[in-house]
Amino acid sequence: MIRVTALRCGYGHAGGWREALHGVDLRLARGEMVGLLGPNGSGKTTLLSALAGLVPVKAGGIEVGGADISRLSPRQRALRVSCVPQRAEVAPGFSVRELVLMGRFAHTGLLSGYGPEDHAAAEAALGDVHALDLAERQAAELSGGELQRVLLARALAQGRELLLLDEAASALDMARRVEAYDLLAALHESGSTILSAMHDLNLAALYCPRLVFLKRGRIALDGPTTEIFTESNLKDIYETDIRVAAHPVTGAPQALLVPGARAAALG
Amino acid sequence: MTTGARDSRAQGRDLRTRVLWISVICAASLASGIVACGLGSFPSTPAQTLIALLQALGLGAGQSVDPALSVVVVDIRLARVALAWLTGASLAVAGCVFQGVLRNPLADAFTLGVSGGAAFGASVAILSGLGSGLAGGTFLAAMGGGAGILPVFALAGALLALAAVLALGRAGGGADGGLRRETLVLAGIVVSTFLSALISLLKSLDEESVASIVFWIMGSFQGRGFEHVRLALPYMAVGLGLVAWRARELDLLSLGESQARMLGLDAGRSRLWLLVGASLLSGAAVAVSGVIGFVGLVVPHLLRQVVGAGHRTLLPASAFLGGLLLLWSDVLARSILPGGAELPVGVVTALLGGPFFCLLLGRSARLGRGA
Amino acid sequence: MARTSADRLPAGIARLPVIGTHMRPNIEAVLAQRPDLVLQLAGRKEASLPVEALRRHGLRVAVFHASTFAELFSVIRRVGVLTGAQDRAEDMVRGLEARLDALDARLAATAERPRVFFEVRSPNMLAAGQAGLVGEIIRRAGGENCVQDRAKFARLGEEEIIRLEPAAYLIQRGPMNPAPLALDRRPRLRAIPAAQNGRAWFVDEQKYSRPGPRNVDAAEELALLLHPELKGPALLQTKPTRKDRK
Repeated sequence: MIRVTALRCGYGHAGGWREALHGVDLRLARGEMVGLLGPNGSGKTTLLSALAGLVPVKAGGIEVGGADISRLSPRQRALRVSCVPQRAEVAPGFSVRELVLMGRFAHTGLLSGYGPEDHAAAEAALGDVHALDLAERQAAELSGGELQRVLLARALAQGRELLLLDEAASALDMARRVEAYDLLAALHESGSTILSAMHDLNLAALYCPRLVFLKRGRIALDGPTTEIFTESNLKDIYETDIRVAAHPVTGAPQALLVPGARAAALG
Repeated sequence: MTTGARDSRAQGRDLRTRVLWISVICAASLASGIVACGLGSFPSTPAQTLIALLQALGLGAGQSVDPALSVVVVDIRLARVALAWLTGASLAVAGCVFQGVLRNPLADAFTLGVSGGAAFGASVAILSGLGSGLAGGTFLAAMGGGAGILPVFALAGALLALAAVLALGRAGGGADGGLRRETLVLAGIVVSTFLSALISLLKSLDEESVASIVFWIMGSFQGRGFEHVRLALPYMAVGLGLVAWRARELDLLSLGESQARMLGLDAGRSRLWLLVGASLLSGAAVAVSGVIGFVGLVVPHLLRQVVGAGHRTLLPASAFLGGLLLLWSDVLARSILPGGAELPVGVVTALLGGPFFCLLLGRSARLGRGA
Repeated sequence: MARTSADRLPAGIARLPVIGTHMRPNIEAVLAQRPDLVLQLAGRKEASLPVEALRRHGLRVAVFHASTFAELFSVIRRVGVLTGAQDRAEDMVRGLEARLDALDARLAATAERPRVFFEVRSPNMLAAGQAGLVGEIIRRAGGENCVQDRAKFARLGEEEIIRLEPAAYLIQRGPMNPAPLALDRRPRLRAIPAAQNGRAWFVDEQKYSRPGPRNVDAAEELALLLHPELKGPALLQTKPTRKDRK
């Protein structure tokens, strides 16, 4: 589904160029659900942006569904890749329904407007994230958590084949977080390919069968959660003492922080 | 939009409120147009006015009307009503586009330097003495079917100013080679300041034509007729078409470049076409009426509070309200002074718009967002 | 001797040095001429500031005001006094007054006073109001300025012109109105009596709107236009341009 080869990309500045990814190789099979982890500034958002075609690729290649995304038009790309951005500014004056309907943009022709199937898809997506009651609200006036659900709905309205999520649950409270990831798990069950950048290690380990760790713009670890979610791996990547214990209900590995460990690590 | 009305109930209810608003504004425009045809220094009764209008449509042939009144009602007032309405609609729609694309409620053709470019182009046309003084002859001669050189100059000026602003915006642009809206607004201010200095320079070079430039820049519908409607209509139609066609893209752009691209919009191309469309509208408006401020600023902002930010509703609503506002501003401009004397309509809109603009500034400062 | 860039008549002054424009005379250029006397016709405020400065530099400055024939004649006399050409000025004024009196005498024979509209500028229409020399010229030429505005200029719409029903329509041509259209090429004004009867003419801005002895020529010319029945050799000074030849 996704094939990233020796990808190098970054950002131009007034003063020059800052490379954020220094040669990343990644493959996702159709129907996988993968958690993208790593410390702040490790390149998670850049990788997702590159997959969405928002960041120019300096070297290497990205294929999505067998097509080189640099050769796809923005519309074709949007039909293959749905994104839930980390932070989204919403201009005042749009209702939630309007915002979700915008997810259907790539499905409409240049001359035609949003048709009945577009409205139906938007309603269905709102229903999936349990946000139908928000439909008439002003999007700019939603709480952070509400907005994240609405943005997820917009991505679902856009397409369910490949979802890229950037910290999509970070602003949600515990209950909403479980709800959102249960929904993603259900989408995964029904065949969606999901790549989700996350801060929450435990949430990732709980829901994603496979994890990819980025560190300083390179892939540090990539494998099944049960194999790579170990105390020594986590200690290397996050540079602090982390203990792993089994989840009391599912048995999934869960990371536990150790107070004072960071000071000890720095010596 | 029409297909959407058939869909879900909630969607329909939302849409019905908007359709209602647009119908109200549309009906008010039509009624205003008829009433405005009956107002002016030339004495006319409502009945005479109606008969004259009907006769212009080829109806009411049985009635007799003073030919002078018929000229006043149809050739002068109706033409001015039509031109004022079209100009107001164009300016308001252009304002919507500029605000949406720049994501700045204070943006309009002025902020972007587009009006300044059009005014500069027209000043060059007036002062260069093309066609022995466009201020007089050719400006009116254009009505006779001759080449409308002034609008061409104004449009060229508007597009050149836009190109300069975009180039400047790109030079100071964002990390991904895109445009920063702050940079664009700054570039617009730089370009419009530069252009107004150039206009001042032109004025200094030829003091004898100053009066015609000054009065022309003030904005007025005095002495305009259907020939000016014909002159501006093609450009306005193309501009309105370009914008209306991309109304949904404007929604996406107003979310910002990165979300727009995520959702499948070629943001650069879409923004370019929308800005070109809005520049056509502003340039054509400036060409036939001079510089008229505040319509493009006030109308979209006001309506966003009422019908929301969705441009498929906001654009037509702005067109109607902009037309309505300028129509009545012109009625005031030509009837408020005693003895048949006229005010420049730009003065009327500025007087109405100035206080509103201050209100807007205060509001957006308190909200701490937008600009 | 020097002039402003707008001064073009009489033709002889064209070779004189220019000291700036009538709105913004250049003080340095004036001082460089080392003039004995500076004359200015009162006008805009911004033009009077540099002249005040000249006065502070110790130059003799005379500022004049001429919006009636009486004022114009007193200006000519005063300039005569200031330049030591008192007798020539007096002769000139007497000649001009005599011509105006002769005009009055001829016009006494006819009671008709046609309503005249004087276009100062178009398309941003500016009409001559009651104040100013144009109104005086129209009156002395046996007409009535149909624009009642007391100011020198009035900004009027076409509708108002139609309402005023002018019997004669004068379009000045010159720097203020560089390329006006003939009346018969303005379809919206077709209904006014002046257009119906073909009584519309282009006139020379220099003659009508700039104070000077030529204003008497203007009155004579206009009298003939308004009252062709008065035609006589003494009045024929210059032939006006017919409006049809643009």
